[in-house]
Amino acid sequence: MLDLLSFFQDLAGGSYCVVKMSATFPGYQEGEDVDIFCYSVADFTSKILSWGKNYVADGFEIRVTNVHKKEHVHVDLYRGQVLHFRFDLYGALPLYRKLSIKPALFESVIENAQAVPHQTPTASASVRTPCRVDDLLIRYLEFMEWYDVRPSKIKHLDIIMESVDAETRERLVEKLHHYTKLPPIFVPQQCPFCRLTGRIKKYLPG
Amino acid sequence: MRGQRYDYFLVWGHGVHLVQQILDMIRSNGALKIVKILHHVPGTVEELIHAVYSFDYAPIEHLRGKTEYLKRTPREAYFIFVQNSAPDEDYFGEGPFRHIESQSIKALKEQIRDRFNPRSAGKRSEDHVIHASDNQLQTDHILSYLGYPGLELFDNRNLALKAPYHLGEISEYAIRYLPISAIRCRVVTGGRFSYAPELTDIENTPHYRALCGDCEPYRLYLEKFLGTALTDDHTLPGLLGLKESFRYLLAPFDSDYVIVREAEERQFVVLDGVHRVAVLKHQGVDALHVAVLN
Repeated sequence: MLDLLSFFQDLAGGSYCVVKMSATFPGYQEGEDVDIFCYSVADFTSKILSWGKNYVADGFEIRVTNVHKKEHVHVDLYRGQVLHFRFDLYGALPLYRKLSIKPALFESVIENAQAVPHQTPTASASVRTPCRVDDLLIRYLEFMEWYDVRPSKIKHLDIIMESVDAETRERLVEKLHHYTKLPPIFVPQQCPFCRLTGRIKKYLPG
Repeated sequence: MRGQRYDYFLVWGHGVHLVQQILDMIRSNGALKIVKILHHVPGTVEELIHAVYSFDYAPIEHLRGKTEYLKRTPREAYFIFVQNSAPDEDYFGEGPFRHIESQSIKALKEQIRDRFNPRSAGKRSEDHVIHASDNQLQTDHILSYLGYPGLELFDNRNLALKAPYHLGEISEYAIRYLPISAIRCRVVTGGRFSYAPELTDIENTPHYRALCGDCEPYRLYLEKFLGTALTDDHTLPGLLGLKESFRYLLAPFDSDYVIVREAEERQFVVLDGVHRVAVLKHQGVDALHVAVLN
């Protein structure tokens, strides 16, 4: 098992935010991942590599993959050919197709993150996680984006509906409306000449 | 004005035989770090003169007289690119010739000219053995002339991994812990201009042999391939200095992994870092963290 808390201990005071954190954290199942928003993906990757060096000497392998323009990077710890744990790093908001989201939401989530203390028998650390409203907002975005193709995402909506008081829900909607809008509807453009010839063709025989 | 910038020195054909001494003078300046040394054979000397002076602050017509002597120099040159951490920029010249120049580069350039320019009647002639950039734009231009993408050459484009430009942009790599015995090194063999890489064990490299006390092969190796196959700034004293003090991957060099590629099952070839592997081997290390490229 990786001692994830010892990693976050080294990050004390850093600007980052662990989003959609599992309830079992710092425990985890093999193959699980942790999503992290951070300002510098390169620096964060360096920190994971420095921390992970001891595990590499113990037989792990760390694979770094630039998923998208160095703003989305996977840092994976493998044991043999099996993915053991993944750090899913974001230097900007993930791409959502069903809603247009203002990029500033990314900074808002990091800046409003709160430090939550965690403890294991070997380490203790505060891990920065989104404030309540941001956590719900990210879950809502995740639900909206995926509910039609990944039914498991309904869990996010359940959390929002079940565990939120009216005031928090109101703040959630307010922030949601501030940072999002529906994406513009794309209407294919036709040049005036093509439109004209298309109309003429209608009246031509054959 | 302060800041960091990239500059270059150009050793003209009649100063090529002095390049080692010129390099030593540049190395002795604490603000300058040599980042690339290139030997260059232009199509014609005129072509090189034109490339160098076409980004000069003065129009080429004004430089014709000044550069006439260069046409009689041998058709070869060395480009020495430096990272200048104390440019100390200021304005020089008057009227249309007023321009920004690094005072530190200008001072060093003059020192080199004082020492190595041909002399006539006991005085320094104006047949300069060396030229230097006035500003970073000229460095960018010269890099483009030499076929590189400009100053981008010196950017680190990779995530948490410092890699030389020739490896391209690395979008995927793995950190692994490998025994040194699984690592093989590329050394250059052949002629100065017709060289080929050859794979060998670390114990057989001139680098490792120098660390063990047999320095001459390494010195000759550097001298022979300077600016052609070897474009990084390595020196024998530099290598010997690392013998005791080198600590692999310690801050601020924590991204400086030895970069390898798996050539065959459990056999890895060093793409960048032969010096580091040699020093580690000499320090008695038998396994190391490396970045493995696909």
